[in-house]
Amino acid sequence: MSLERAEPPAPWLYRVAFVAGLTLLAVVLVSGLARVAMRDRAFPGLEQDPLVEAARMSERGDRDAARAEFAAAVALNAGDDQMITHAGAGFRKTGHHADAEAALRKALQIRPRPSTYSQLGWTLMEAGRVDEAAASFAAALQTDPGEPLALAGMGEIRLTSDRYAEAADFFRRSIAAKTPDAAVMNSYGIALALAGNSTAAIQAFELAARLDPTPDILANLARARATSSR
Amino acid sequence: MSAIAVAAPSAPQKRLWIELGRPFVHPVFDLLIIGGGLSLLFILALRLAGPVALPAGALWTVILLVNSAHFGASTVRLYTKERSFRDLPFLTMGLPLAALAVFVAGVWFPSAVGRHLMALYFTWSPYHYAAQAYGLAVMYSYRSGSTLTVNDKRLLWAACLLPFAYSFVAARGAGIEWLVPSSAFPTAGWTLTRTMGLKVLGVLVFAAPAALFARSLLSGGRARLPMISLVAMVANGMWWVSFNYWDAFIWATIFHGLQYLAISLVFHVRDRERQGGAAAPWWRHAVAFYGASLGLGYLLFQVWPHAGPLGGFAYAHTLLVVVAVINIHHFIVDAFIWRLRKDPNARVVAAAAPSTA
Repeated sequence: MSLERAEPPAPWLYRVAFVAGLTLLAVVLVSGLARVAMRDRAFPGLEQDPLVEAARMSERGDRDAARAEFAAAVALNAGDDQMITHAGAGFRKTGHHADAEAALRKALQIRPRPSTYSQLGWTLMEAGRVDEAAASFAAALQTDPGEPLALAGMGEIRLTSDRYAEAADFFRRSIAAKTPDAAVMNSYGIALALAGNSTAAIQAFELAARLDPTPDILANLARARATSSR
Repeated sequence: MSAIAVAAPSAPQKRLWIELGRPFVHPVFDLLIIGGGLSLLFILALRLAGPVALPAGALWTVILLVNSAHFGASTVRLYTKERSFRDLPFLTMGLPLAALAVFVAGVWFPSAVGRHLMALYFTWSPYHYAAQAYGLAVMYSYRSGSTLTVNDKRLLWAACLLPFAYSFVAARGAGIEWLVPSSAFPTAGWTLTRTMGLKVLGVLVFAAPAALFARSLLSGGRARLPMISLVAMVANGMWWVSFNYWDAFIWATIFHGLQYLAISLVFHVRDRERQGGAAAPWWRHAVAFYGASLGLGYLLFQVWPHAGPLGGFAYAHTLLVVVAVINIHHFIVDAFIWRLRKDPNARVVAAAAPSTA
């Protein structure tokens, strides 16, 4: 048996590996730089959010591509409940409610945050499962009575069951809990108008229109003004 | 970063009963930045003022300037360190290609490989931070004139590993949840055991360094732990115990990166000055080192992930696997470049150490 130490790999092998590694890395970096430069006419920005491309695809209406990106993030980062919740909200936004529900339930298993319950509530409500949605909003409000999305969800449920005063109260609390959102403000205006408080309804629609003057909001505002002037 | 034994001054001086430790730069800088005292103040401020929600732009900027740059720093340190190509041929020349191969496997087989790379990175990170806390604690001890026996170092190592043990048990989707399938756990019993284990570890994380510090004071000065060593250990514990696992990943990486950049800069500047670069002012070496680290950090974290979709891979897959591979590469490189025994690093630690006369 030889007592000599095993010979290390030949130095030229290391040099070949080094040059190959550097060359490949350079190709990858130049490709990444070129892709962003051609697409955005700018250098890559400062972000390390795995959902950023999915959000971009969702914004431009490429729903299937966005879905694939959201699914990729969830599959790889199985323990990050916040990221999975954001992906769940993204699935919901792109109309993939089954994926959204699965992702949000997965996030809740990791950590039952009120905001995740709220997202799940909205997902279920949009899928027409109102009772389950109400239970999810209630779970969110049990932990955080000021959770704005859950309050807005409860308002919507009251609105659809013609309980306008209760709906208006939930929307008011939701609006007080965070920066006003045009959709919630619009729903608040509808609840107020249906509850017979047209002056407050007009104010709510005016604020909603300032935030996001969609045709629906502007029509509601015009209708409320017309009702009020009669 | 980890450190192992280096020949230290043989006899302790008469010193203050509790001493800060001999700084590399300035007592305040060493205590706050390298020791991690700043993170303790930050956590205290969070407790008093409530949670901080940094705007996304500000958060990513801080992460680039500190965290991404710190990953760059380990590579820059590897390739600028004296004799590294000769002494570490696989690390310098073979590992980059190996890392690229692992990256390709990770994006090509996200379920079979990528998911496990992520879990490995999340599991290994707290161990890496524990090793850095140990390295700093030993480094400041030697630098302050202490002599640590094998037993002293074993105890120090065990105390430094406690935050890793805590995060291993606490981790979601990594650590114990990665290695043991969830189906193996009886739900109620497992939850209770895990909660109790975390409570015990949460106490030990702070009790062990405190006990070691007290023990060192009774050692008659031979193996006295300086305050900076204690702060480095406590800071690492605070990162993992006071934040939840994922918040810890954000804040711990920032403060760990700050520690790392500071100590890397110290070693790089001292090396450069020793190698005959004393003609240039120290800050020129520091700016060159940090600039290279920052540039590399930007290319690796901000540019590389955008290449994935050109190859038909999801951006999310590419980004997550890139982050995992860079982290793992960094952990491996660090295990070698911060050794003290028979390494030029030892000269920097011993330089201007207290006289043993």
